[in-house]
Amino acid sequence: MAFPLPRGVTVSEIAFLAEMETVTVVPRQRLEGLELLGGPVEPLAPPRRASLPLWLALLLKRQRRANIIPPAWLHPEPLSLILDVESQHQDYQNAFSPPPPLPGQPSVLDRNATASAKPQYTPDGDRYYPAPPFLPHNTAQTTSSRDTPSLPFHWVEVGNLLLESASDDLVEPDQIRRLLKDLREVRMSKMRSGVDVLDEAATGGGGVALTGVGSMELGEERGFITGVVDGLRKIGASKEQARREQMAEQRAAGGYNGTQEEEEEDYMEF
Amino acid sequence: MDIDDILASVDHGPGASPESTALDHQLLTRFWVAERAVSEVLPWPAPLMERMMDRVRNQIETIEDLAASSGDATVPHTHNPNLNLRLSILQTDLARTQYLIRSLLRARLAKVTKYSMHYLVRLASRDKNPSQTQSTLSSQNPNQQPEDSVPDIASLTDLAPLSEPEASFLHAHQTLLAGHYGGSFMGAFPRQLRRLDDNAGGTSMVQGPDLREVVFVRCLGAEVPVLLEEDDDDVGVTMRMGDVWVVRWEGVKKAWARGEVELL
Amino acid sequence: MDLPLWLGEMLSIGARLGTSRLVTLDMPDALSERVMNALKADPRTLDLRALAPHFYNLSERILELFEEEEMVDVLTDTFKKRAAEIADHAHNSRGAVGDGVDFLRGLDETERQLFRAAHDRAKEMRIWSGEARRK
Repeated sequence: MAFPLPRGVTVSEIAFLAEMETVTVVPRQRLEGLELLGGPVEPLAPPRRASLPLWLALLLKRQRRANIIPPAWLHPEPLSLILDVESQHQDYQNAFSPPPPLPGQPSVLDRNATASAKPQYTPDGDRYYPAPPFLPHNTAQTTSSRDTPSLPFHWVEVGNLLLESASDDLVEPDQIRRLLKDLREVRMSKMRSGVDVLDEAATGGGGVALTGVGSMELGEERGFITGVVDGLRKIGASKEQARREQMAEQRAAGGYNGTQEEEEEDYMEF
Repeated sequence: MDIDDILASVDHGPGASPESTALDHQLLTRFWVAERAVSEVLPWPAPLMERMMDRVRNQIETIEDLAASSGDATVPHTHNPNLNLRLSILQTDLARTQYLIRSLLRARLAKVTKYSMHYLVRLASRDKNPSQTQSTLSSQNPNQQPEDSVPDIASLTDLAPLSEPEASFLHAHQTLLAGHYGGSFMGAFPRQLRRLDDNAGGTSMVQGPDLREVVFVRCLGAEVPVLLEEDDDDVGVTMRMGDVWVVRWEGVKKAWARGEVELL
Repeated sequence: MDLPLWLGEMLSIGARLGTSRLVTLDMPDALSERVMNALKADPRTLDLRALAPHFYNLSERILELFEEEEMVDVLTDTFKKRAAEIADHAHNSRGAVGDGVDFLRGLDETERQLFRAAHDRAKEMRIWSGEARRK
């Protein structure tokens, strides 16, 4: 009541998060290392490259104290490749192109490899698995060169911010701008055609996969998707209740556990 | 004071290593996004927040010292042309962290206010020695006032999911509100109708957050099953590492607490 | 006889418990078989607002009282198809045109909120990315 806020981070807050991504810069002046609340910043010594949070890289860029080396994916070639996958590839008619893997996650090329998530530990002894914006998905060189190019979680924001403030550091910025626009369009139409399967997320234990979705894309559709799913849930509430009662009866009658098989069918890449 | 000394003094604060600073920043960011994504108030991460507050205080001192030295012509380091740049970087970084903390607290207060009776009743239910003004006794009380339905939580030690200041804010807020209701209109009601936690007619007046609302999550563990209900062994779909899903919050709440999924 | 929903609900629950047989409930007009058939034919052309401003909320309450699996399916399909249409209109920066105007007028309260959520975010997004200013 006192401070009404919509559920989920807002558009400007999503951009704020994207500014925590790490990018590669070539400094044009020296600067001592700094201890920031966001973590330590390495000393700058031209012409040695450095990795900085995007907000700091943009601050230096706007004062002509550094140039930004564009992220590996933000070039015309990888973007055209990704656009082809998004619009032509059979496996991705109704899904987004695969995102950059998390540490320990096998790349899409190794379908048989198993995931091995290796946690760090927090000072309080809890497990912590890093994820965007705290992975090097927007640096000039990504971890492995054999990975197919992929759009990082904050691709819309990073692309937009760099086009706005560092377009002279980009290769063919006009073409990049066009490709980003095309990518947004093809992906948004996928997002919207996904309305059809949203009832999979409206029952307990169900869900709809949106793997590969971007942070800004998710932010844009969040209110709509949650509204649709919550609406579907309420319409179907009586049916879900009846089904749960039936399951409970069956279990009481003979220990039959029908959930596993039944729910498994709900899995689909929307 | 030399800049190196200033930087070193930051290092000597609690939770001092640079790695833990970066990690705590990531934890705070992730927690803020999570708090913004769900309807209920998440468990207050007290140790993390204490470390963050200490660092913010230290950083403010660092910045003040640095700013003072820039105005002091006798200090040799003012020749350093980077002083203003360093200051502006430190200040931007500080402002960003303060934004995170403020927005987090604001989001929590909004929920505490919205579901105030729900959280009060939930806290009070842990009270082993409920005070005499409560429950059955008071419904017979001819002087029943709306304030009487505000449980007393002063003696509680377990305030989860709230922090101590949040719990006292909650109690003060609801007492004020009840007093205001009583003074402005409820005082004129028959005494049976003066409670704020009435269950008559099969509809509870106390509304809590809806745990069946859907959220967006990224799976961080190798494989994480979605539960049918929060306290249920029945599992539905299984998420794999790197996947992003739309699922019910109650189905992934436990996996979130284990750090195996993050809210988006 | 027409009764308020809450009263009908109480009386019919009494009836189910066998204590009395005061009333049996009929479907409200808004959820009649005629409406269901029209929704099955084309959910997009119906003016739900004219049937009931809180069409879906009403349906939810009614479905708690009647076991009507088929109605759940029809309404689920209706809600989904109309939601997809709502999304298309909400993302159209030129606003509603042509048939869209009639469709949007016929949205029930739940659907209006859906439209607002989608429309407001799309607009926020265009402003952030600078598109709205450039136009």
